[in-house]
Amino acid sequence: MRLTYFAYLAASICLAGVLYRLGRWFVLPLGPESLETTPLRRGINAGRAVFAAVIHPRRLALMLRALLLEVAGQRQILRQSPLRWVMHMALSFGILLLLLVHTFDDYTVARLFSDYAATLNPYMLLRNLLGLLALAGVIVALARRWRDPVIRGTTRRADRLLLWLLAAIVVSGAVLEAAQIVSPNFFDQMVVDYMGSDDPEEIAPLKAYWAKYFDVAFTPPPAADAAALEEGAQLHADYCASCHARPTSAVMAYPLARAFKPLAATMARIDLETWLWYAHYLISCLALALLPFTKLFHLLTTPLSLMVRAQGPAAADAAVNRPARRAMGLDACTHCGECSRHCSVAPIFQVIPNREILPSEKLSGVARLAAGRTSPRTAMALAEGSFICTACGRCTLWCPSGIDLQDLWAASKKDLRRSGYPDPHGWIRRHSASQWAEILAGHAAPAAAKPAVCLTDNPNTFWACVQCSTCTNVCPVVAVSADPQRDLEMTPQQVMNLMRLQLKEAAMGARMVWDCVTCYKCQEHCPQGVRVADVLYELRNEACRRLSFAQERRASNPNRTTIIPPASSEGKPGA
Amino acid sequence: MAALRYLYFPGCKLTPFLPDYDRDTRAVLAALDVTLEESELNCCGYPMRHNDFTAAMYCGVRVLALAGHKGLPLLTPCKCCYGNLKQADYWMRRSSDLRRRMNTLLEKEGLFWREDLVVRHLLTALDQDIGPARLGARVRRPLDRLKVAAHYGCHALRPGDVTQFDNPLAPTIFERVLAATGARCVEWPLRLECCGQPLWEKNDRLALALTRRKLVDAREAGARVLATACTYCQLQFDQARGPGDPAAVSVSKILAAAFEIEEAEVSGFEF
Amino acid sequence: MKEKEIACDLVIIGTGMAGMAAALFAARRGLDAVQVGITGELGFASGPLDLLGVHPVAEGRMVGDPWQGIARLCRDEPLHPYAKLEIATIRRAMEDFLAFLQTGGYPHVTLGARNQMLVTAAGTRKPTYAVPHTMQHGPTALAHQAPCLLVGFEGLKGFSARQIALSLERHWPDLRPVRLPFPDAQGELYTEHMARSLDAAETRQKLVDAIRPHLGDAQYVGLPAVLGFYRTERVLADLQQGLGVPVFEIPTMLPAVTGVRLRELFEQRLPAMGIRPLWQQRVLGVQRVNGGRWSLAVGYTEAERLVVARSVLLCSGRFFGKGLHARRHAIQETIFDLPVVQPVDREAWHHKDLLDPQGHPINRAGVAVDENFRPVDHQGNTLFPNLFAAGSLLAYQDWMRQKCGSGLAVATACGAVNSCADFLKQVAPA
Ligand SMILES: Cc1cc2nc3c(=O)[nH]c(=O)nc-3n(C[C@H](O)[C@H](O)[C@H](O)COP(=O)(O)OP(=O)(O)OC[C@H]3O[C@@H](n4cnc5c(N)ncnc54)[C@H](O)[C@@H]3O)c2cc1C
Ligand code: SF4
Ligand code: SF4
Ligand code: SF4
Ligand code: SF4
Repeated sequence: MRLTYFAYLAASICLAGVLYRLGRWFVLPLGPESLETTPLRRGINAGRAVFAAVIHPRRLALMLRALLLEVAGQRQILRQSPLRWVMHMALSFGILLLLLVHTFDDYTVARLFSDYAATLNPYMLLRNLLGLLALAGVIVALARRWRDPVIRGTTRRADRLLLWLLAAIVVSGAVLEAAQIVSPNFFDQMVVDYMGSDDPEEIAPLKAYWAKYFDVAFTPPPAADAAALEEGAQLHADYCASCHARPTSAVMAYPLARAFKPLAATMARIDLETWLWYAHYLISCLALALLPFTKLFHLLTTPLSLMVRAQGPAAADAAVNRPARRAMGLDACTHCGECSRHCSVAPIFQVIPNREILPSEKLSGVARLAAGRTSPRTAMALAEGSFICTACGRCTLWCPSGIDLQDLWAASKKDLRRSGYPDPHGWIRRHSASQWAEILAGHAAPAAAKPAVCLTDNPNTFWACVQCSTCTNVCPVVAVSADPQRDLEMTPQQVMNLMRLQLKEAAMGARMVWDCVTCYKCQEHCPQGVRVADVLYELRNEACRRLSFAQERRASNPNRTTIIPPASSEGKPGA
Repeated sequence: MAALRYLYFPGCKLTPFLPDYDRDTRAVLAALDVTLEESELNCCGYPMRHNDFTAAMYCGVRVLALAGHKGLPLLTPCKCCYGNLKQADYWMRRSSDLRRRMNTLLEKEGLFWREDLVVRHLLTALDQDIGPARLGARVRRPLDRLKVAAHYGCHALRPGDVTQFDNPLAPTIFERVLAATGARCVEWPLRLECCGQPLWEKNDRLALALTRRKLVDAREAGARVLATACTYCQLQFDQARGPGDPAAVSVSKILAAAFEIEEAEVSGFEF
Repeated sequence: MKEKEIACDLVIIGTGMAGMAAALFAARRGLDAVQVGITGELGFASGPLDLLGVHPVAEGRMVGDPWQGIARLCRDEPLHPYAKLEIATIRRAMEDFLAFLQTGGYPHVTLGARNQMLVTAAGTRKPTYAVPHTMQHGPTALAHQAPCLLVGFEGLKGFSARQIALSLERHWPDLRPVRLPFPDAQGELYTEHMARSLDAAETRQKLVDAIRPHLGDAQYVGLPAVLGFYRTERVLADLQQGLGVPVFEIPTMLPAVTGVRLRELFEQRLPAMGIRPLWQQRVLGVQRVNGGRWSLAVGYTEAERLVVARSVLLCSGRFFGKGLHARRHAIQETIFDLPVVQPVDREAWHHKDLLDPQGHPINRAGVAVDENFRPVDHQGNTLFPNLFAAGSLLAYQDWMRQKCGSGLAVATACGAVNSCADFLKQVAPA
């Protein structure tokens, strides 16, 4: 059959895709360790590590334990919520077993049981039950994505499409089976194939029997007297029973079949069941081909990740293996959003609408950065989100795929710095106060982005300053600088003087403002009650805001002349 | 005395980076019949203050609202967390604009900010709620050979009008708590100065200069141990400690040693 | 905010020299006192404690024996606050005060019945009663015109050794200036940072090494007032041992380390003596409540608590301390709105010549008090039995020109606390 070519095609794409993605685990630059090694060495060392783990009894035991409890039992999901566990168990086991007993039945059950036939029980019942299970899983998953506000916020189209794809496979299968049940054409075809007869007289009793017990919808309906049925039963026993159980046990398809019965004639005329067959087959092929390129890939990677995680955190790995482990982590993410639900800094997303704050989203940003697929604007956003992370480790604790996210973030922060996207403190170091005054002058943020408390725009904040220099005298940062004018550009007192003169921009980029250790001594000691340290905080805040606005504008109009300095001298991000 | 109950707020960095301090704090408070309730709370907002005031405040306010929801006072062993929670409380009282914006966000989650919520730092709880007398009564092994420098640091102490921690210019709360163990507190010039941590990973050279200065000063004052009561300070002293410097030890570990609490691993220090 | 309430016998308003001295005397007398005020180092200024340096001001005559000077002043100006006290009381107040500084590790030195001549950063000589021990060798060296090395530092503003030596040429020909870099520092220097770094032994050694080659025949070494912060005794001892000659400090411009040393000394010791500090807070409002008690709203920018007190001692200073405020037409007392003795209109605040050495009428404006240091109205009637005032807030004195700032603050604080204690004893606690 020609359809099989599609299957082969899909399988080859899948295989090539899997190889490609596995290969990238040893190529992607993730973390500073990747600079000191080569893909070849990374590959060899990974192989060694796997080998070492397998021959070491304790480590093997750890892996098997993870395989049992986490891959099969998914207890890490149970810990999150029983409902989610039910959903994920239904989905994963539904699909996995369907693959086993249905999709690849030729290679599995058919080999094991010589009398296997898809339309016999328990196979028919099992298939239908599994289909129902998987469908239920899909429905719960969709509902969860819709109901939980955090997850809804982070759900991407791809997440939903994939769920719809799975639903389509199951539903098309069920509809196909239902159509086959009621189809007279299908009956005729089988009679020809297995009874070797096309004599209407001879077939009539079988027809009567199948119309009554197998719900085939003949037009017109065959006469069904007792004699005919008895003869039909005999014929059924001779020719069909070894392959056909009654469709009532097709718990999902049978009710559909009953519903289709009135339409059976039309369906037969347009040969719907063939179309449905194409559809079911092709959708399944599509899913197979897509496997390595969507999060379906996690069917493979997540179990691996969980078993690796069982060996310990990434920090305990050899440095050379860490980049590959991180890359595997990137592939093992199911975008379930659990990390973002528990992330310590997630509430900040409510104030700063940058998705890269949320770990589940940041992860894709990191993947793009490593693949060199970032624009200055997206890298800037990723950097903002990344440096907000407090390394609290909660995401790692909750990630059901066992990804060492904490290690990933630590590495990506370093990568960002290296590719020219540091935290704001790093940016400011690139220019002098007067240069920043020029750069930031044109980028006053719109009123909507004003902070809820704004001291620097209120002259009352400074009017009392008598330039007594107490703030400078008590400042520990001034105290430890060998040469304050050179190292800090100005002293706290001088910053306050600029503020009194309404020269905010001139102060905003000053070293002193960014090297302030926020000890609040100046504020506590100021005889005039000036909120010196709060003002310095606010200057940094405003510079941060202007910095990101400047970047936004540059992105929307590359010809603008007010320029944020080029990202990096070392080339494109991630390189 | 009624049993004390708090909502425990360890803060982001404590559990992953200083599990000791976390464990000792719980053990010490348990030994004093204090109950710590727990629930998942977000970041206090302190690290965010560099970047965005409103975001930092929202983090703090949300923690306050979650505690308010439980009807429990908050207790944190971190001075920076304490500071920012107090900052959030302070500005919520004073800025109607901030209140409006925060309430809109909180409402989405069915939360609200309560004006009467109490925030405690470990030290203020030990000193004000429990009291040095009760601490002293629980001491099994007086640490009278220990010469200790109490490190105050910044964010709990200052700005005094915001944090209401102790007298911002001449605090004594830390010494009071330590004295309950029998330890002797040394006088040292830099006890109210910054540990340098806020500049770590921003300007490491400067941060270390500040830390080193304090360690040297404590050493010159004859201290063998530098007592901390803050996650960030402890981290910073640990990474800057040189040979001959006093060891930075958390107040919880010192108390645990005096209480002779089994779980606390105090063998590393000669008390 | 829910206001917390504190009850006490006495509230001392002010943390300047007068307020701190009052707190000290109150603690010594075992009074239950709360102290409110913003402590700035400026109030304590440059170090020397003046008792009486100039009298009469119009003649600009320097006072040799301050005690005799005070006696004469009291005769000449019977309204002067000093005149409300017995000389013996003033003497005892000063002795107590100096004893406190001694035990605090920051001893001050007097010549008993004589003022000493101190060299200032401006290169002038100024008579004063007591100096910090770090400055004690300066007046001796000056008196003997001994060969002396005067060290200035590159980057320290407002202190030029060369300028000082030049100005003093006539009085001290053997004063030899030298300008050195301060150990481990470049660019602009700040005195507090220099003092703190000299608290560390390593910096002291480096400084000794830097000075020694310039010593020559010098029998003394003078330096700006940066010789340590908390460990002045050790710093001074180490430098003298390292250099082999006596070392002394010269007062610097404000804000000065000498002020901070004093402030921190008070801050460290007073709470331990029983004073309840509400520092870094101010009195924002007052009310007289039942039984004549004072109820004070206290906070930083807004009221955070109420303090209810049986008596109040006002040491809120003048314009700089914010105890007085110059409105367009009149001077006001800022907390109780007490009557202020002042020239009739603004025209008369100043003399024609702004630099008139006699000072201006406004310098003598202030709150007038009765013999028990209780504010009075313009008719001389005592306003409240339980309100007292001390320090530079008081009328009929010009501490700046008379050079009697600290003495006046300490002595009047002592007098006011005495009266207050008597009052509290008379009125049985309710
Ligand atoms: C520039 C300068 C130079 C000096 N030089 C010398 C010198 O050479 N020799 C010497 O002996 N002395 C010197 N002094 C110190 C001088 O002796 C004292 O400053 C002076 O006597 C005033 O002391 P005071 O305490 O009365 O007032 P201040 O020092 O002015 O203190 C006033 C206090 O009142 C507080 N206050 C005001 N309003 C309120 C309120 N509403 N609530 C609560 N608190 C309030 C303020 O916070 C402050 O603490 C100098 C002072 C200055 C400022
Ligand atoms: S990182 Fe882990 S927790 Fe986060 S979305 Fe991916 S799989 Fe889920
Ligand atoms: S480590 Fe970072 S990303 Fe992960 S939960 Fe904590 S703050 Fe969020
Ligand atoms: S301490 Fe206050 S008054 Fe003095 S210079 Fe600084 S801000 Fe101005
Ligand atoms: S808060 Fe900043 S400016 Fe102020 S004293 Fe501390 S380090 Fe200096």
